[in-house]
Amino acid sequence: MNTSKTLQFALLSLAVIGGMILLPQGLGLYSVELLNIFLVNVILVCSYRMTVTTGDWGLAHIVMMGVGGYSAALLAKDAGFSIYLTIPAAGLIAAFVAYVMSLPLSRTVGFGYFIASFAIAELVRLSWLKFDTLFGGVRGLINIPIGKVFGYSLFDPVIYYYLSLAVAVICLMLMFQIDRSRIGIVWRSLSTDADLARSGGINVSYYRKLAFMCGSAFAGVAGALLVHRLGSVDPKGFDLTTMIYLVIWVVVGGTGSFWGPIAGLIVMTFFFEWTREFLAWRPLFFGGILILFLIFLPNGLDGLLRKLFDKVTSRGGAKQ
Amino acid sequence: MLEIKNLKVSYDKVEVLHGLSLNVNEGEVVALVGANGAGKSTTLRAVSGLVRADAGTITLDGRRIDGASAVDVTRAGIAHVPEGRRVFAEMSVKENLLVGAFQRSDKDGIARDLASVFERFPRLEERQIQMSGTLSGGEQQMLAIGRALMSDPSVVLMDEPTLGLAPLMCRQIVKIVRELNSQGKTIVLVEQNARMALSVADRAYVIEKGEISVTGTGQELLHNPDIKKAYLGIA
Ligand SMILES: Nc1ncnc2c1ncn2[C@@H]1O[C@H](COP(=O)(O)OP(=O)(O)O)[C@@H](O)[C@H]1O
Ligand SMILES: [Mg+2]
Repeated sequence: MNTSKTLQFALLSLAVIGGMILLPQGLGLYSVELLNIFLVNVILVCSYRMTVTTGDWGLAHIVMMGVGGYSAALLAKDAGFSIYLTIPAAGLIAAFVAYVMSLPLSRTVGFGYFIASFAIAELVRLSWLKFDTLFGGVRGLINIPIGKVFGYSLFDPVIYYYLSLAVAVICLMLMFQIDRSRIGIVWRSLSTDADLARSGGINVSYYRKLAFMCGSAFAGVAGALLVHRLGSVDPKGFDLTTMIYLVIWVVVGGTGSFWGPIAGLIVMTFFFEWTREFLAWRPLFFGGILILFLIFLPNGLDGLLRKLFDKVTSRGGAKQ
Repeated sequence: MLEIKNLKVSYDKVEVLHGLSLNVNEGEVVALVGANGAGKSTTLRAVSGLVRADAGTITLDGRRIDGASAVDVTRAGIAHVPEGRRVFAEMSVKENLLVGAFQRSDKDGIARDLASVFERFPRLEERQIQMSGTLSGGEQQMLAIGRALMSDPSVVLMDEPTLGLAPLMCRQIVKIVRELNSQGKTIVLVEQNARMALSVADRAYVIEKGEISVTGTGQELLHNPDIKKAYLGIA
């Protein structure tokens, strides 16, 4: 990026963040609650993209969010940690669990990885059901303390919104930097041609593990934000259906750029709200959209916009 | 500098190299020629740690590198330009080059080598933000070579760099091989285009069914009647 582009980008980011700061003022409490969930999901989709840049499309991500959620809940309830501590701790614990899971997972590739990631994540999820003295079984954990920031109670959705916004902005900045760093470049090289990366001296299994751990850390942070807001956590919230929604957001947005998954999330969140009346039909709509995108727009909205942009800029230009 | 002794390699229990030996001295261009399926690529893959040797040894400056991982072999100073002009198609030219430098940590050295790759291949500099998949075949081969150079190797293994390229482009690649060599790189060149390979090589080995059948200087082999008949298409 040259300096004028960097400046444009910085101004645009500031404008978006400024808009996000003003946003709750004109909205009712219900909408602010939706925004709180939306911010959690923004972190979630970006962190999922982080792991799939290596080409490892898996089904474990939502459970990694759950690991963060349960960690935050237990630390707040049993150890009395404040929310300042539970959020980063949830990220670290999720990264550690991801490391353990990646030991067997990194031995699988492609379809094998896809299925194995589901199996191993389900194992984690079942342990929440099985060890009910610790995790509360099917009912999960309730009465999770929420606490205060700067003397303001976080029960107020608007106050919680500002906390979530701050956490989301920090997470996105970190993920954006990682994506553009040499580590991000290597991750993308793995999805393009892992053998070639290996012949260039890249330790493929190390970088796959690292991507899964980093993505899971941010998913864990998202999980902590979620359970503090809801005040409860249970295994149902991290099941396959929820995972499929995450896949749809990311596929619709496209993983080609950092912003694709966020665009997918925004579009599908509106779609989700519009289809509230057709509750029974919703899975069908969403399944249909997933299939249509996979067939006609495999690079998602991001790929579509890029193509249109290339068409517009090449017209009248160097076109023969 | 690079020495292979009695190398045996198999794929799924089928042995394809049956005790192959060769050596490469520092500063040489050594060509490996032979028919399709003879085992040329497998030899290079064994050196760069991409396939395991069943038996035999590979040493670089007297240190064993057989059994080392591809990461360690690259660190030791061997770069591999695999066959088929492979580039990371969905990544930009510059990103491709940076991936090549990944195991290095000397920022200044990387910047210097990036500048020298761009100097060597001005087309790549012009196209540095373009997706590599959109480059022409010749440009992709330059990128593949450039990426290998980014690891600052002392030995470069090139697998059929001219395959499928137009004659003008082939001559360009020959020129690059000569240039790299005169700048101190040791080069192992695998080619089916035996005439081209023998004319640039100091020495050459002919590989036949997983073994060395003939060896000599490039000029000797160019004028060897058997070689002429088998590989140069001259009766
Ligand atoms: N990945 C592989 N799996 C199984 N057999 C292979 C593989 N790669 C090469 N071979 C076999 O090994 C032999 C040598 O191949 P190769 O080294 O690619 O030859 P060359 O590069 O000289 O054309 C061939 O018979 C080929 O069919
Ligand atoms: Mg070959």
